[in-house]
Amino acid sequence: MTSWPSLTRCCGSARTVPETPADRAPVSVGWMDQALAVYRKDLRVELRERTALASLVLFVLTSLVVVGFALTGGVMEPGVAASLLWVVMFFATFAGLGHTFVAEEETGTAAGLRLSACPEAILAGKLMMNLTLLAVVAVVAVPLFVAIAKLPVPAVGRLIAVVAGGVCGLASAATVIGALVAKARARGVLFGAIGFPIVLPLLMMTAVATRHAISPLAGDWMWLRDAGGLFSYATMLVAASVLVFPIIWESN
Amino acid sequence: MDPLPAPGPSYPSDVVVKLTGVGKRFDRKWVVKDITGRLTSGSVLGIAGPNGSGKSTLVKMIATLLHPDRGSISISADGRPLDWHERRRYIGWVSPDTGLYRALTGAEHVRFFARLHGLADNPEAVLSALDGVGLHARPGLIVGAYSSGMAQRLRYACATLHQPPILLLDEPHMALDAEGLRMVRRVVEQQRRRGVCIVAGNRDDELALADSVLRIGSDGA
Repeated sequence: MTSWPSLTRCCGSARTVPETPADRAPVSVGWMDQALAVYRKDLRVELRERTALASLVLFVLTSLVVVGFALTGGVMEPGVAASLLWVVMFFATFAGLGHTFVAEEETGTAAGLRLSACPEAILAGKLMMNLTLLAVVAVVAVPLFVAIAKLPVPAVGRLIAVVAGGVCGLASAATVIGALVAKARARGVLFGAIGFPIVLPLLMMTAVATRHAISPLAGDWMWLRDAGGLFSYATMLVAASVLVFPIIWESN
Repeated sequence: MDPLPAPGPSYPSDVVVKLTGVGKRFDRKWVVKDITGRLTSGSVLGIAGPNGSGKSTLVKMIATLLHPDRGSISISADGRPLDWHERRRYIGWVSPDTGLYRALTGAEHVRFFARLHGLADNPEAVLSALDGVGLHARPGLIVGAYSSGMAQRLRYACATLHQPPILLLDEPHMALDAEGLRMVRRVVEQQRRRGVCIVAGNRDDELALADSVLRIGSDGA
């Protein structure tokens, strides 16, 4: 069993004037600084290439248009609508975010990252990027879906909290699964095979939580419980990623 | 965070790289077998061998990107052994396998790696780093538009940014013109003052940079 990963491995104080030869070590840098650098880099690349964003938005918009067309004039039962929303978000996530680590391995930039940044920082940077992308998609998709499906939203804050929890969970899942399959040959198959059991509980929870969030009959405690459950699942996934990712990242 | 450091000894005065019976296999084939050697600060080691003899594999093992299956590689700084992850802060690596982000400019690459190494975001220092490798004329050009020679120069800029005590050069002259070859010579001489340099290649002009040459046979030994 590996020891608890040390988040202090990267951390250190700023370099002072070296007094002895032993003091003249390369400067340590905080893992959060490295994570932010990775995040900014990925954001800049994505804004220029729009690889993930295009896949995500295209998938979501196409799905919503088809749903709208199918519904024409009709009303969808809220429970069905809640499940459909998260099915769309699930497939959009794995269509658009699956390449996070794969691209680094395929283009050969992963080696440079390994030498320059600690695994925890890379994981955090990639997770922040996936969260950003999914948040953008959710901001576009959820209101559109609510409008197309004519869903009642008695309390917008509840729905926002549930969507936020679901987005955190999906982003965490996509990040760790992307890292797991990045070095594998049969990535497409593995992505689904590994992703399904990890994401299935999350999908069930988000569907139920969304149904409660749009139901005028659901009590306050229900949405709190649901949102809390979603954020807890996301936290659990992140914790598992922190344990597992350094091993995956360094394996060869 | 400090600004990009000025040239000069700001790193350990004595770095030792020691290889003891190092071997690596992929599937059942031993690509590198029983390599032993010792390298101290101020020296440049060449690694020569035919294609497929394991030169790049050996360099990657020293760079901590691959784990040896046999033997050991130890690196110490001023007598203090460095663990696997600590070594990486002391290493710079230039290789044809090093990818670049095609959507970033040269300046953005340098700035990104400067941030990863804890160096302050200093535009003048970034331009200076690009100037050192002959890329100062077009810092805003995206890497996707680079020629292979420009890409190789950018690899040098990113690898030497943090003035690593250990510099690993795999096929250092790849895609470089005459001015690029002079740049490599300058880099190697600067590295000699700073620490250790390992040059892996097949070309006579690459191996001429080294003080001594380790020859690997086609069987990896």
